[in-house]
Amino acid sequence: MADRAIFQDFVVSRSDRLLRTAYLLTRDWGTAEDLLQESLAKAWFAWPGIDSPEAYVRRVLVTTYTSWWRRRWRKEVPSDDLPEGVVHDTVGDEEELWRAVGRLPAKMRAVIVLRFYEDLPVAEVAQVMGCQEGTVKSQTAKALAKLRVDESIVKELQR
Amino acid sequence: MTMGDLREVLRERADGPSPANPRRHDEVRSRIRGRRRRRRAAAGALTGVAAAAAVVVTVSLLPGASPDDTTALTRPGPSATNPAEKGLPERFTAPDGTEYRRVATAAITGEKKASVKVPVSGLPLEVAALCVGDRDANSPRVWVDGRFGRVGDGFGPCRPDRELQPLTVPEGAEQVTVTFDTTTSGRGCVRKVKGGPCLEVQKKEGGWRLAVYEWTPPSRPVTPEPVRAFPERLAGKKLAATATGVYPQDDTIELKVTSTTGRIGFDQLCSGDLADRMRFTLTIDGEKSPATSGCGVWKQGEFPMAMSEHRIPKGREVTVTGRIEIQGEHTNRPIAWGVGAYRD
Repeated sequence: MADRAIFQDFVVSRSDRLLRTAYLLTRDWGTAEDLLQESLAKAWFAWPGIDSPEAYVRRVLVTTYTSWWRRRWRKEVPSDDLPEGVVHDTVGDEEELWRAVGRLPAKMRAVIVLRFYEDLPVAEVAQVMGCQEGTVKSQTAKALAKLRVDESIVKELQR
Repeated sequence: MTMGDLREVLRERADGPSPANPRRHDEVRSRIRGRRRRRRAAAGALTGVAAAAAVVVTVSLLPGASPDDTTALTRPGPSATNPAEKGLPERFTAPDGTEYRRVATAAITGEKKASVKVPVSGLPLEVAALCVGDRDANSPRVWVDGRFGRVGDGFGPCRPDRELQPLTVPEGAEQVTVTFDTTTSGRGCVRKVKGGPCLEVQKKEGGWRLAVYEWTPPSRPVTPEPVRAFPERLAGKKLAATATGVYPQDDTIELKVTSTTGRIGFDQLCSGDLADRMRFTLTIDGEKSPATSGCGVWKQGEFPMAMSEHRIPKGREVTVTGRIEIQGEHTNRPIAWGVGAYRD
């Protein structure tokens, strides 16, 4: 069981990775920060009863994202300097792939991010998403089809 | 395209420089307080059997519950007769006697941006907002001359009470352009029943009225009310020590605490018109806490708990020191503060 004494350390030391996952889901750093903070606030209430904080917050993040389609409450970070945007010199296929990921429905996009960014196995994705492993597999296959990604590496899909 | 390409695209996008946010923990704590307030409001609404047709039902996440968060909201839409329409007068006097003068106004309905030019006289500036509509309507972000503005914690959810946040402008500026922005990006859908259709949820509408004020500091410091006494027991812990003071004269804390279980918690209270702008940074036996905390304002009802917990060596007395700061200007507007230390 986690105790709240580590909550602050968790936020400081572990949340950046989750922010990146949130960014892939929302495609906007501001919305990602919003989603992350909302998820952390929700997790705080359950904190004393959870075994694996990171997995739990990731699950909250994904379920919040899939049920939360837009911003509810902004608490932006005042900052003198806006971060420099990432410069992408890739155009063409990769850019198109990124755009295609953005067109995926929320849940399908979550599956893709968890499987191919977080590198979670099917069983763990199912746990995070609160669904059956078969659903994860089918959602993955459908998403890859939409993205026009070669599905020939069947073993990887079944992992 | 291959799965390798997909992985590479995801990593390339996500692993680039992300906006650093050293205040994340503090902002999360603000949300925790907000969720507590909403729970209490929801509980009140649910116990009021005679609630009118516009009922608010919020099923919040309970400790240990599934992380799925179900919220059903039905609220009255924007109304021109709402008292909020009167909330941003040309001049007003704050409870501590500070005189505010409006220097610019704007209004936004839905997801839009609005910009105003603001003359800078050298007096402290604040942005004000009130909102008629759904609580979950997007809150405006504030930009100053095209950059993220320093506006305290930013605006909270849509509500009809006037909310003020300090606005910091570039040094030496004689005029700035302040932009209020409620636009969003992204989309999503929600299933109301398991296996059901994924429906795009209706956007929550809010009508924001916004203003920029400058205020003239009181001619002499206004003494705030002392903070209320901390509860003897909180979250299963017992009050072990307290420290109180009035900022800015008292801007440091020192407490000594011992815990047989090695776990201690802290909470803060403040009073005064600028109470919610205070920031506390604690250090335990020389080890600085990696985040700052705000403080609760406790006027009535339950204690606004948002305790931060820390581990210390079991049975050994530790010295807790702290630094207190405030967001924005505060000339002659002191704030009373208190810190409560709790142990198992």
